[in-house]
Amino acid sequence: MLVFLIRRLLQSAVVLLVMSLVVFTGVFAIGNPVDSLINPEATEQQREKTISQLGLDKPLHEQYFIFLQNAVKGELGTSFVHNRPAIKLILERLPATLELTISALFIAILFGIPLGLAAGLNPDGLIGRTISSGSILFFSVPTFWAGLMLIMVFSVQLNWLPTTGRGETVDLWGFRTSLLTLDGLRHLILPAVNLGLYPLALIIRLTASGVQETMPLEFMKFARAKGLRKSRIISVHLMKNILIPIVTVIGLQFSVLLAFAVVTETIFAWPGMGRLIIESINLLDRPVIVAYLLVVVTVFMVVNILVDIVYSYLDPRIRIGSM
Amino acid sequence: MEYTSPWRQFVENFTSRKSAVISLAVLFLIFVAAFVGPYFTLQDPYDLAQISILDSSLPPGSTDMAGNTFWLGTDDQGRDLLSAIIYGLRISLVVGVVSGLMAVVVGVGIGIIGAYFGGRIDSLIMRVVDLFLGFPSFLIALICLAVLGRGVEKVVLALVLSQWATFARIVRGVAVVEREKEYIDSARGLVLPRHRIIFGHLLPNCLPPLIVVATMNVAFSITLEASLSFLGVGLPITEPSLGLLIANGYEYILTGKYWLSFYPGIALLITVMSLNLVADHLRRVLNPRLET
Repeated sequence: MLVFLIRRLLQSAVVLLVMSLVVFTGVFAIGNPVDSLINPEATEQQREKTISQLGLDKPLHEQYFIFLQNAVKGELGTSFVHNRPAIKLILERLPATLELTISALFIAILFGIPLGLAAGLNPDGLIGRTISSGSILFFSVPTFWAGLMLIMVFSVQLNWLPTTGRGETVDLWGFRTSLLTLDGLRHLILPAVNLGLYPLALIIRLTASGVQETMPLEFMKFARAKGLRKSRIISVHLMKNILIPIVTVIGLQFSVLLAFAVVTETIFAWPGMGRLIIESINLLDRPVIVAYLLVVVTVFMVVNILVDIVYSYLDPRIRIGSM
Repeated sequence: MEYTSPWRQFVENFTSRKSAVISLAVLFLIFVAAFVGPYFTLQDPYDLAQISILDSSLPPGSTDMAGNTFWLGTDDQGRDLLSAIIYGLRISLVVGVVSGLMAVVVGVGIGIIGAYFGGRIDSLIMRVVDLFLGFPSFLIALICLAVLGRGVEKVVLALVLSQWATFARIVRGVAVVEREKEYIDSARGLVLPRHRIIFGHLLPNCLPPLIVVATMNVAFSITLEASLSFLGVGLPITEPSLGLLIANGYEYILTGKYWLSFYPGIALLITVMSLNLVADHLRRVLNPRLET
């Protein structure tokens, strides 16, 4: 286990290093941030002073090494626009994004697995067909448009739920969360449902096809022949065997949702890091873009390691030592 | 037993389900609307001489003084929304199909070369593929566009970069199995040139799963482009795709002018959904065992 963790962490560090190099070079090629930061009427002297203050006058490789040295110390540069450490800006907004992403995944799992079971157990019945076609609809509907439609129906027409922001938040172990207040929850519902639609469709499809593949197998017949209750067959024998692909997809979806949160946060004015990155792209705020990417990639890697650990508990055939 | 050609078998299998035929027909109609439609629309929505500010923000079904009916309403500049959707559909389809297919060509080319040669080339290629697959394609596209800026060719490049790795992975998986089969040995025995073995013998036998995934990928490319354009990092406003139309309607959503973002979205949804349904049925016919 320990060997596995160390090896995975080392691999992750290498990926991060490669990523930082690629992104840093790429982002460096984006136009000249000075043009958008300095008053066009500034004198040539003021211009040069700002450029050297931001460290933009040094050659690319030198800038990268300075960046790396600081990165090891946990500093990823100062935002050109906000004039504050980029990493701080991102980390301040990370909890809001994680809250949204996790709620969306939770909704997808909570509804996806039972619906997928129902569809898989009677695929030709009315319920099964309705669920399957519903999942293709959710699968195809573009996230951003679904968000607009949710606002239109539940906020503009019915006036039930608010459209923007996080609402009232409370402090929980140093993070602000809207999960614990009624107002916060009301603000969270629409964005979380919006972001959860795609993984919901995916989990339904995956569960349904898993059930259809597993049901005709010998061990399932044997369980039935033993006279086990149907509930036990489904919850123990069936679930254990279809959970592995589902866990994989949930792990992968977490990363996808973290990226797609950019869209949902923009629509619902959710103050997470996704909105920040869009603003930063538009304002060419390089340090924030780089910091965002590195934070997101780190989160991905942590999630992937967690998924692998969960595997080994679900499937005794997979031993962590052999990975 | 009577002989039926594989192509005929395929057609018969595909058309045996009603929903397959319907979704294919809808898809066909969408393409006709997008490529023939612009010649029949009420107006060219981007020709300032043909639109009138007097007709601005009319709800669906309104008629102007000349007796033209705006079936889906007009926008804040007096553009007929139906015409704008038909023009936008064309842009969305062109970008989606071109970038979707280019991703397939690039990915398949790289993947199959890796599979054929094996060894170090293969493992180097797969390392790069793994690196790309480690990130959600939306994020890759977003970052590419952050670096490149807005533009049609930039969106296409970003979509190709964000998706080629999937195809490289899929085609390699199939090709590694196919490579060991006897027909490849016999092709080698005939001392055929390498490119003929790879592209004339190996590739055609890897096609079935690729056709399915390529269809889904076009759908996904269209969605991705729309999302990126909606966020303002995709296509420029001179290329008003469906995503940009929806973004334009977004500003009016709180004032109850629902049609401005509703109808372009419906057009987008029908397009993507019919592509996904066709892909679903192709999968049923071509390889029943391949599941998501």
